[in-house]
Amino acid sequence: MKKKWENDVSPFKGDVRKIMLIMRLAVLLTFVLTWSVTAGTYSQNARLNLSVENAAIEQVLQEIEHSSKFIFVYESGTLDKSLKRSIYVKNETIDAILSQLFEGTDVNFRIDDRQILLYKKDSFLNTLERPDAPLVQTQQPKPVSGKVIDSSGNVLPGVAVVIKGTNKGTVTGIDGKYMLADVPADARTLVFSFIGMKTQEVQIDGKTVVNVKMVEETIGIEEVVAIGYGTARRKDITGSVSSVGGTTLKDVPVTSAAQAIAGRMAGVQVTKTEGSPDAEIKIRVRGGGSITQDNSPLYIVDGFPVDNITNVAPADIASIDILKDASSTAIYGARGANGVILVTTKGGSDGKGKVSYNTYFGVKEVTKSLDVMSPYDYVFYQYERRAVEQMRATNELERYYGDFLDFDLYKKMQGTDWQDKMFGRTGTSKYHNLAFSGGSKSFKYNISLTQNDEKEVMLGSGYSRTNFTVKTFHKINDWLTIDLNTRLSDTKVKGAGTSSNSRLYHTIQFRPVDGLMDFVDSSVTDEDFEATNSSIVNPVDQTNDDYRRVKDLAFYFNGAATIRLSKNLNYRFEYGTQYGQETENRFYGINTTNVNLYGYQPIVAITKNDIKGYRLANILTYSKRDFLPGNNVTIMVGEELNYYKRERLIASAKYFPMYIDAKTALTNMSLGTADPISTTDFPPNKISSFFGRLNYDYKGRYLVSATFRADGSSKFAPGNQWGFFPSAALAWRLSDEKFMAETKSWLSDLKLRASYGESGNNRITDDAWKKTFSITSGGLTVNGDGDGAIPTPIILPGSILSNPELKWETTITRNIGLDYSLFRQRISGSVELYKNTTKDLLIKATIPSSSGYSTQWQNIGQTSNRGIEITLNSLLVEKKDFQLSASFNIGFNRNRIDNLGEVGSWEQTARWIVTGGPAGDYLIKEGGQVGQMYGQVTEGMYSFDDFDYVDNKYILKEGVVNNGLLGGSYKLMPGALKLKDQNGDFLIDGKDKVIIGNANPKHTGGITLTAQFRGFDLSAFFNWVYGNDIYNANKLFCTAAYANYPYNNLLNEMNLEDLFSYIDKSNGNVITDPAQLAEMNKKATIWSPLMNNIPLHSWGVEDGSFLRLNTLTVGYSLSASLLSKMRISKLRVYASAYNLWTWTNYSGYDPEVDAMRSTPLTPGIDWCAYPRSRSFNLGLNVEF
Amino acid sequence: MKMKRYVKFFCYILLSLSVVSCEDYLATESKSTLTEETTFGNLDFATKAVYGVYEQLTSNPLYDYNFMFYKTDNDVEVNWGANNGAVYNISHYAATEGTNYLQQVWNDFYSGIEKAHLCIDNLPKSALWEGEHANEARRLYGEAVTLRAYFYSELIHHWGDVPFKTKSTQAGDEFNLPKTDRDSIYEFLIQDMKEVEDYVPWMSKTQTTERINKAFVKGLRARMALAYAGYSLRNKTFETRRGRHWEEYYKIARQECKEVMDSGEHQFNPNFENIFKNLHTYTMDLT
Repeated sequence: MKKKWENDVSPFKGDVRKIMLIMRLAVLLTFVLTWSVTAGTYSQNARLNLSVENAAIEQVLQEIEHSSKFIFVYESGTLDKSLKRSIYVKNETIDAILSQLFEGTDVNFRIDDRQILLYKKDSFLNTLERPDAPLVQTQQPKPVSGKVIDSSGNVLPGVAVVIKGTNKGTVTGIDGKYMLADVPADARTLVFSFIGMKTQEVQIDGKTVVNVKMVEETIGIEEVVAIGYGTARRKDITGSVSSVGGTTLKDVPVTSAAQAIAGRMAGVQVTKTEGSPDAEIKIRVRGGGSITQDNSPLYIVDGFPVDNITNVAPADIASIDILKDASSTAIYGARGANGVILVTTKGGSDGKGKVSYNTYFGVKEVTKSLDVMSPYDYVFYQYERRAVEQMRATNELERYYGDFLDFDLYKKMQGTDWQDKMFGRTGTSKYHNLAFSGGSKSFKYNISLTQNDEKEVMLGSGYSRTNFTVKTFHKINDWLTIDLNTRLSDTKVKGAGTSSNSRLYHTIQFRPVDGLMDFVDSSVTDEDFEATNSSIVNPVDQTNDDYRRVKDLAFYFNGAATIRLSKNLNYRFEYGTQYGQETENRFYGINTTNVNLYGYQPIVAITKNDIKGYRLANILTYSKRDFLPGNNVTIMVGEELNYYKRERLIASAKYFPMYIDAKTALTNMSLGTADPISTTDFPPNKISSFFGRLNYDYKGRYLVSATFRADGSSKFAPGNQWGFFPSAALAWRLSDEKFMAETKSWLSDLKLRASYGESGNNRITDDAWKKTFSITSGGLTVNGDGDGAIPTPIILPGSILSNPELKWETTITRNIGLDYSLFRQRISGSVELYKNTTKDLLIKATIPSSSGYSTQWQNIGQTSNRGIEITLNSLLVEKKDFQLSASFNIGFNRNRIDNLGEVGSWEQTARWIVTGGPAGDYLIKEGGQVGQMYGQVTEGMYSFDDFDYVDNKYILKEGVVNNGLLGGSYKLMPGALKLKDQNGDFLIDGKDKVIIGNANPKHTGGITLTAQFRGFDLSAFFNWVYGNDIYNANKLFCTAAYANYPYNNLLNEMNLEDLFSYIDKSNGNVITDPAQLAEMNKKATIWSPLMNNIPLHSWGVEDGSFLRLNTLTVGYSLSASLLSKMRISKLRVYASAYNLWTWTNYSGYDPEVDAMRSTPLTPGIDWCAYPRSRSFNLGLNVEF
Repeated sequence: MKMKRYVKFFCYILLSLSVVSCEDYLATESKSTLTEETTFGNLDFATKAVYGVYEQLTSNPLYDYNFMFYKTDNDVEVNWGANNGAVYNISHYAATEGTNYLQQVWNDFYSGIEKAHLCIDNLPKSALWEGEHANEARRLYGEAVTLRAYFYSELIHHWGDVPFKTKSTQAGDEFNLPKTDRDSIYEFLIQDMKEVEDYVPWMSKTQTTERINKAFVKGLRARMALAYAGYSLRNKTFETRRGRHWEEYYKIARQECKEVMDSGEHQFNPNFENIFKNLHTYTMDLT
């Protein structure tokens, strides 16, 4: 008997206890069920003699096997090894013997001819129908078989296949195949289910072969999301959490995770403030509450708080969850008011080791350049401004550019396109990512190495970063698991960009032609020319002389030990630490404007920042299901300490030898004259916290959660350091209610939730509560100011009066949301309404200056944000060969300034240019919004009807508004800029300012479309911002003829055809006859650029709405069968484009811009922002 | 096995609690930011803090540039520039609400007074006051007191009765102060300077004219006494009258000047006319 057994199925019996559960069952059942086809008579006829005394059951079974043809098949653990039985039987059927043997135990048996299956009574095997039970049927049952594979084409063993409406079914074997012997003719559907995959129902339709491809469960209620200090299933959360998965992010060809999430989550507005590779990425969750402090959300990576997520490689991310309302953020207490962004990096996974390699190579080009004046228009305008202003005689111009009457020659010339020289080169991107992951149940690992190299479109601009991540999970024994996580990132940035020192306008405004110097070897030397022109310099020379290298090394380590104290009680200890070192080397050469004040000699500055931080947390979680039937509860309490410190050193020197190059100067700083070295030891930021959370639910239908946190922060004075942040939320799963039973067929899930909570904002200036002094090396010297003078530093008190009463800015949020899921999660999404109030806002209250100070920080303000968010995900088409899904999100937000205390209102000046710019260009007022631009309205230009011409002078008529206070080179005459009088006093001044723009959008959102067809995949992602205005400072500045910039070029808005001009083209004289002037300018549409002081007027504020095709990816994956020969499990080639197209009416470089960020009160300004580029990439994903 | 677990667990809790229970955990100190104690506990820092008070005089609205346009257009000097919507208007007493130079002068003087107050309040409390540097500390104190007096005297010259405070501003103070009659201000300050006269050495000891010396203190005292005792236009009533105890203060003025002359520490220009001649021929006064 044994031998036969061994020949037939040798690997089977001995290995029963060794094979994994699923495989075991699969093989077991396949065996059992296939053999059940043959009619069993051996079992009914066989008679056995058995005589065993007090033996273990196994022994008895072995006896039976020895003396018969029977074979016992059972899972290990089915038999109680300690049980001993005695059997004395003669000539008995096997059925009777086994009934006697197993009487009083929980073991059942089933006989199929020679195989006897033993199983425990509560095993699911019990539910499978006995094949020899009678069936009621009207027609012949048919067999149905097939094969089940997963989305990559791999076979899937262990998938349960059940005939819908019955308990009859089977399980797929190791080869993914299944066989159902008697499928009744009236059975219509088979249900295929497997953990982690979407359950599928497939129509039988009279077929005998039904093959199925299972798809991973990515959207839907089984998804697990990260919430503060833990995770939860999406179906159980009561607060507002939006998520993006790592699979969505990995294909977006950007270097920063922060940029990859733009537009993907409702209510989360992501703005890359300019196009430089290290540009700040501003993230705002549901608007921002504070008006004077930073509104950035709290960033947490694997439990550890970080400054930002720009150095996290998208390839390393498993998911990003954003907590938006207080019931989810209150657990972060003092830092949660602006939302919390939780990033979870990829850990290892069960299963054999996997090696994956991803790479792409791409090219980039700038998306837009601004039109500037042609050479002829340029020289004509330069001549005109001198002739009209009489500030610089036209002789100087003619000396360099030739006689006026020869200017026609310039019409044939091609001007130098400086924007092309600066931004016209083709940038490149190179990306490599190598990851090893794998593990078993007790050990999982993920090691990943990523390298990004970017050559940007701007001259001298580049970026590179290396990321190295190791994440391990180790289950040491059944009560202790250890998680270890190390992250290292090394970033290098090259180039100074365009916004520091406002470099961009040099590119736009540098002269397009050099005049005579191009033609003749004149006596005019270059230096003379340059000297008269020192305020606008050659942008290429300036950029080459503007050296900047930043090296940022960041190291993070997190470790956690989870101890299972009892079945329901877990203790987790977390420790994390952070080290960072950032070094910036800066050199300004003779061609930059920075050296103008220092003898036109080069300057060097080195800045070093050292960052250190740590975090300790103890968390205790108790979780019990069914403490009363149907009632589940989880309680978590914890305690945490956070510490963060920065130290800085700045060393600078001036007056280097003139022609030295950057690297020599930086390595030989003794060649310059050293400035006093500045070292700063910033006060450490410490937070001590206690927190707890309670989650309760009844059958998953009624859910309650409450959190509480107490935070003490070192930023406040003793006595005001502690803040308390509670929250509560309720959720009701309507779809589980009895009255919703009819909807079950189409409504898979409907959950209504409401929450209320408080969280705080502690992102305020350090030491605002105490009186402090600081050392400044001002201009003071002792021993006179001649040769023996010694500069002496002085100690000054702060200029803002301290306030020991300062406390947190607190945000109260109220949120109502509805999560829905229809048609078995083919359509799912949520709708939310929220209202956030932020009170105790820190405002610089004006106090009487007789106190010695003009302002003091006080908690007196209040703002509110209210809005609606809608998310919709849908699986439009799901067929075997073709899938199409779409998702959509939109967020409406409206902010309002509720209270500013006694101050009531003030005007904020952005000060984008040091002199000559507008004052008070934003209005901050109760009842208004943050971001309202305040200025005059453009009426156009003065016409001849506005003036009387008397004694060769234009005299403004009565009743015509007077714009003369603009002063400087502005002349009140026809063709000059005319602004609108608002208050009827016929004079344009501060009283005529009105709100002319609003930087806040009405709504923002994104649309994603993904499609799969056979091996091809396509995804397109659009994002938009609608209804916001942009303050186009570039346009205002580059259309004015500043007296201090004698040779500046202007934007083509001021081209000669449209321009109101005063010069007679035939002889170069200023036209004095009004009739002649009017005739010449009858087609003029734009006013004269002659003005020194630029007001903010409505022509400079434009609609910034845009729709962007953000990412487009097309890929092709080779089929599984082809690959298995090469031992590769996945191979995909793809092409992607980033920032492919932007639809917008905005005339500047790009509508996504925010240049003046030192205060949140001046958003939406486009001033010297680095232009953006679009990129095209080709990539490869391989997995072994 | 279970016991070991519990032991471990409690160890951790105790560890972290011990850090938390220390209330000092939340206290922060940065070596770069100085508090009142650290600034005035160290002679070098205290000196630099007093330099900060001097530095106030160099601000652009004050003696750096704009201040020279004030108090012109009189029998002695006239500003020839026409009204320009800015500081020239002040010369011609034609300032409008847009001329914010007046506000800046006011702000800068009070800012200087506050800086002086921080020194005046903290020096007597500090460790320096009784230590080895006691003399230096008193000299600094004297300088701060004199500078404060100087600032107030300028404020009175321009605005008459002004808000008067004698201590540095604290967070809970009433910031809206009423005007104090100039007589009271002068009386207080003149008495105040008497007390610090001895703290400040003569120039022969300080060897520099860059910092206040005894002659300056005496001279300022005399000047302020004269201003007090003389006629000035009063704010509320528009009368022109003298300070209430004017006879006494003429005596003070005379005495101070006499003490400076008798001290032998300074030489004096024997001819009053020379002062004008030197000024208008742009020569230095060599006495």
